[in-house]
Amino acid sequence: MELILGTLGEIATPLALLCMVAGTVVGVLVGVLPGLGSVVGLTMVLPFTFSMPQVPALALMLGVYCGSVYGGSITAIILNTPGTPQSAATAMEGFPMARRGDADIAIGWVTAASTLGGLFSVLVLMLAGSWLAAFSLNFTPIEYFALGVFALTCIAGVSAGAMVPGLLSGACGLLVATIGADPVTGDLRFTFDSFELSAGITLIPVIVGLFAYSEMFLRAARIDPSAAREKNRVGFRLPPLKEWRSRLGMLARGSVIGCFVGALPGTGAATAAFIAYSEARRTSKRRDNFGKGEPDGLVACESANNAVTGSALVPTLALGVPGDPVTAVMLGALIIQGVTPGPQLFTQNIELVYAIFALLIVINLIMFATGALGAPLFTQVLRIPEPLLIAMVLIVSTLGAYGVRGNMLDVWIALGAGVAGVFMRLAGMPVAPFVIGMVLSPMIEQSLRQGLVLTRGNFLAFFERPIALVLFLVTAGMLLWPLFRRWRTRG
Amino acid sequence: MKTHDTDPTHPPGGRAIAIGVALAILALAALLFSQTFAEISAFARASQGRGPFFYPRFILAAVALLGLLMVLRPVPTDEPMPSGAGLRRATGLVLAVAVYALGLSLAGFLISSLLFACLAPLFLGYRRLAVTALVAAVFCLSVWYLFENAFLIILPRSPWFDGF
Repeated sequence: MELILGTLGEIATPLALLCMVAGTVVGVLVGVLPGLGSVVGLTMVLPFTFSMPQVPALALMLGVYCGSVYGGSITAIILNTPGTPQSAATAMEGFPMARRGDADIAIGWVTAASTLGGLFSVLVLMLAGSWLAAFSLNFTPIEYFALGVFALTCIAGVSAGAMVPGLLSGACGLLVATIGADPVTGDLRFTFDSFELSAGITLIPVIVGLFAYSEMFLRAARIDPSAAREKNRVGFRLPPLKEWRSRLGMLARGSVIGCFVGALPGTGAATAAFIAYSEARRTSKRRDNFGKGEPDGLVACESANNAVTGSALVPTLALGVPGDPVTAVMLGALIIQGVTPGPQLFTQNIELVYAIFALLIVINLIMFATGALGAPLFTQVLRIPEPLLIAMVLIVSTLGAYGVRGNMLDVWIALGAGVAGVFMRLAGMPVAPFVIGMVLSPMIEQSLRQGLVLTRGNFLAFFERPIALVLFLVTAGMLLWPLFRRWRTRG
Repeated sequence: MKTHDTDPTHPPGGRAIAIGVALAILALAALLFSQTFAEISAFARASQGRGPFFYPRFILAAVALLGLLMVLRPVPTDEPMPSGAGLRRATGLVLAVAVYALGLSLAGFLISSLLFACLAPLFLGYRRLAVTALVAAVFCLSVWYLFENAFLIILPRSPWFDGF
């Protein structure tokens, strides 16, 4: 009881409440603007969190995360252009509804489904996060090494259709993270006698460069200054209760799919939304209406993509292993705040874990209010001229890179990463695996070498530990499964 | 079967860039590999954990293998290739950010950001100068005020004025 009251006290401060509201509003705005997405949104607000206390900083980041997943659906409905990839499925039913004049009710459906899906995922995070953290307390460096290797399979997940470039991108991320002092012996590696590089390359400037800078440079390349800006306005109307009753099953199924998919490494909200949409299309009584503006499809995909937000944090908080670039940025933000995600977080800093649960619940409710009150206003952001938007995003992103250590070298690293990101994207190399590799590399190396010390240099002993063996087998299974499926299809 | 040369969504430029990027990565990997033979400490030599370059060599081997595969079989990209004018605009913006970064060190955050926020949209083809100047002033002053006074994060200062 004391803990709950303490948690409520922490999140009920004016600053925390302001950050929740501001984060959610900024997140929705970022989601509404096509192409920006959750990672760019989080990168933009990151510098504002540097000097904040932990809870308000997390409130801001979580608000942006949840808000941006929801915000993309507004553009998907009114423009048939998903603001974020996770809203692509929403456009299939939302836009036909808008065309027949039901945009306001479509926004009502997605706002309610997003909120309920998000709340369901908090419940899953509360139950699964604590359980997973308790389970992982038994882990030795060997299990952590196996876990790190397993988490690398998410690179395969985010590289669909470009496996070799994706793996190469991930390997480059693993390599870049080794620059600086060796974590075991302290020897310097790949620093070329540069004092600045001896502290290594930090994650945030690389994220700023690969995601925010490269996106803005490519936008600049494709900009059309003469293009007319969108002038759509929509309202918000909640569907009647009797319409909901027949769709509760769809909502529950979408939420469960979202939670399950979100906890898997390398999947994310877009995958969850498409799986839930196709499942809804297969099982719905109104399946003949799909593609013509059927709310079943909206409820399924919006509850699924928002249910990812809580469950994706399960491995991030409980094990310190991010499943996608969004949670990798969240992990970076937590580390800057002095929080070390992992099982110890649940034993030594349980107040903060409870605060995260409570923040997510409140943010999902704020998201509903934001959607209900602000939907007509959010579409106005589409009228901001793109050149102005690019300049503003670049300034805030530069501050994000600079502010981590107050070091101009980080700005140059971000710029270098931005140029590299442009070439990588033009070459068909996804940039997300690079970041995932960079996040996982220290954990994999440290646990591998500590494990080798424990086993006196015998790597085969790694396979004698049951949990590690299971993780190695699952990793092998996940890597070999696509090959097996292709072989069966050909056969 | 579609090839890079016949598929309009995967123009030949993308293939050349893919090969160029892979070759650049391979060259960098070769340079880093040569660094793995650097002198290491006596403690590192005695460690059961196999020394500081044990793990990077594994990764370098993977990078080399994957880089070679990408040179031999570049994957078509979904990213549409920018036009010549577009590439010039993007290159100009990269240079503008580089000048902005230099300006941060030399002239401080507020002056360099104001200049960047006014000139970058102009360079990108937005010609409504009054709107640009107003947005730049409001945006830069708000960010500067928030950081310096609310978040107490010291931003780069100009050498000419006290306070900013």
